[in-house]
Amino acid sequence: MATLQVRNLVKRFGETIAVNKVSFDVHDGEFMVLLGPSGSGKTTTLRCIAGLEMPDEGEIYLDGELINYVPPKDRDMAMVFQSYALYPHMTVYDNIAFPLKLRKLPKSEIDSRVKEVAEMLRISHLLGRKPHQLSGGEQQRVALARAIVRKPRVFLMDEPLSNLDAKLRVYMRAELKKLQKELGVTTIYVTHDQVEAMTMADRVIVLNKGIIQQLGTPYELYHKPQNLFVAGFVGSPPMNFFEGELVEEDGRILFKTSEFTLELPYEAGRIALRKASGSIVILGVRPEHIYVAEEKGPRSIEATVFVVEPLGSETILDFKIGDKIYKLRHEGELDFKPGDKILVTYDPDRIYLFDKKTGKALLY
Amino acid sequence: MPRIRKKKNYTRKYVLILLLPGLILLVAVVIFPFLYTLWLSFLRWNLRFSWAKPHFIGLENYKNAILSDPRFYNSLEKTFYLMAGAVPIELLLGLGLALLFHTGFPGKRITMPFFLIPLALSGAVVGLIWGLIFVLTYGPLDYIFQVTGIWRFVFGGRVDLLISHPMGCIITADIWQWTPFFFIILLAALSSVPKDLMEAAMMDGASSTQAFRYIALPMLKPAIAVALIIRMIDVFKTFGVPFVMTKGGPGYASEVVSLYIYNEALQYLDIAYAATLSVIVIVIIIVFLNAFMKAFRFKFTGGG
Ligand SMILES: Nc1ncnc2c1ncn2[C@@H]1O[C@H](COP(=O)(O)OP(=O)(O)OP(=O)(O)O)[C@@H](O)[C@H]1O
Ligand SMILES: [Mg+2]
Repeated sequence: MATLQVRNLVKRFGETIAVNKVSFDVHDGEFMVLLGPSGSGKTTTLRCIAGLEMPDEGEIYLDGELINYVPPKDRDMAMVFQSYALYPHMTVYDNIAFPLKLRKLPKSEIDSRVKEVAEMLRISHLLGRKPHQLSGGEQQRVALARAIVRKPRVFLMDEPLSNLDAKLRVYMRAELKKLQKELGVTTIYVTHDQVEAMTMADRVIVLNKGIIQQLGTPYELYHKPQNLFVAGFVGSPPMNFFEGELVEEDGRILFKTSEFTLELPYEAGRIALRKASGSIVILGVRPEHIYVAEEKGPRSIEATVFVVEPLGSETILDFKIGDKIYKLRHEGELDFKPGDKILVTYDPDRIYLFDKKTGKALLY
Repeated sequence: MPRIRKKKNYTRKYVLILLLPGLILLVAVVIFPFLYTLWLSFLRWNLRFSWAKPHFIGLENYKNAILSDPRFYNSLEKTFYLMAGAVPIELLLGLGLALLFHTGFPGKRITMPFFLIPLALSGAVVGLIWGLIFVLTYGPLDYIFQVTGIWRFVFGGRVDLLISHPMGCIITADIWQWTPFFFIILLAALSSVPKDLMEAAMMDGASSTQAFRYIALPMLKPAIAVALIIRMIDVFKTFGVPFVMTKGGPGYASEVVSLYIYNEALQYLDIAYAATLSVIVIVIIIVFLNAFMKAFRFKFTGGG
């Protein structure tokens, strides 16, 4: 059982700053996800925590104890590598037993513990094989088994599911989450897949260019993105952004673009006007909060159908306003052809406003 | 179908044409000399007696070599001394250097070439260098041993090492010459051990020594085996260093097998007998390597 504190972590590689003043706490037994696009510094952060990389600045505390200078082998953290890093010359059994052998546990205890985890991860029948005789999913479970067999204080997992096919990945997500809750081990999990982050995490850290963009529960990330980056990164398909001018006219708050003008809810508009650094703002609406309107109304906008993507239970409709393309998500089917003229409207309570200059959210 | 067959013939012709230069070379420098040597070994033919025409005597040369040639056994013994004395140390030193260069240190790039120089030198040059180092009165070793008191405490006085310890001198030179061979092969092999495996071992609780012992070393095994095999064959061919440093002396005290064969062929001009010795040495090497590969459980085909 462990808590982890990271304070002002900085890691540079020559000119690039891979991790830039990152601070966060991980509670005991928490499933914390590090989410960010490729090159955002997730792996580097994880490796600093593991002790495989020496931070240039900042401190890392494990249960209140500074561990910057503690070598990896003494941190009692288990890591699942993105590449699995199974020892190719050892059998699955020996791979899983390796951490226990290093701790000089009695043979009988090693044996019972290896068999126990193998049972738990359903790889008992593979114990005699070498890693190269396993499928990707099996290798991944062996890597997991090697991590959990010694009941470490912290799990560190670097995109452990990224090499699996879609179906196995969905299955393993649930398994992994269940396993983590059963064992109650504090976990930091790296992924660039926002669906994985949203479904598995207790809390998520969104990283970009080495800087924390937001730290919060999946609910908070989705409903209250603190900036443009998080708003655009979380959610699929991503949020639609419209650039326009925010003005107050005759007691109404209007959002004006070159193509259309919308009236915003007064309260929200007031807050945004007060917080904005300039008059140019970005309006964000998620595809699931845009609808095809039956008839012209105060919030309807004329658009042209661009592409229809039927996904079975839902349909993604790409439409054009002016020369820009936006998306809406519709539960069920939509019967349109490219080029059709339609009217779209949106849910006024589900809009986001961001400052153009700072990217900061203006409403929450 | 005819088209396919035509294509097949076409490629087969090219295969032959492309193989031909290699085959010719192989026949010219390996197969023909070997068969000729084999043929010579069944003859009586000594160039000193120019009037005596070579004639076939069957296995008599082999009988002589195996049953009544103590000098041959002596030369084999010296060769095995060299192997036992030099090769393990070369392996260990080479491995140590490879580890040092693999982990890296400041000045690594500049020092690297110096460790590879010996590889570029011929045995004769190495023999010359070390002969000059070991020689008494003006050799640097003499001075160092005098200053450090090694003469007095280890050898009980100043001695000519080339005479008192000729094999020791040859082994020293051989180690200097061939350690770089293990060094570069093992350095290349080390850099092919995936870094994340070593890191995984450390996360699993291994010290760097344990990570090396349990992860890197098993993966280096094939490279070590190949390097050892090459070197062990090579030891039987060691010629330049003893030839220049000691001439096999004093007496026959450092006459390794290739030096003895050389002496038989070009000092005593007994071509046929030298050929016989060569064939026996080849057989010894083959038997020896087979035993070694069994012991190492080494298969060239790879896999488990
Ligand atoms: N050993 C290194 N040497 C130099 N630059 C590095 C090194 N490791 C990482 N970087 C750089 O640091 C930045 C962050 O890399 P990092 O591997 O942490 O990204 P990531 O978020 O894990 O990305 P991905 O999702 O692609 O794995 C990148 O710009 C990368 O090029
Ligand atoms: Mg990464």
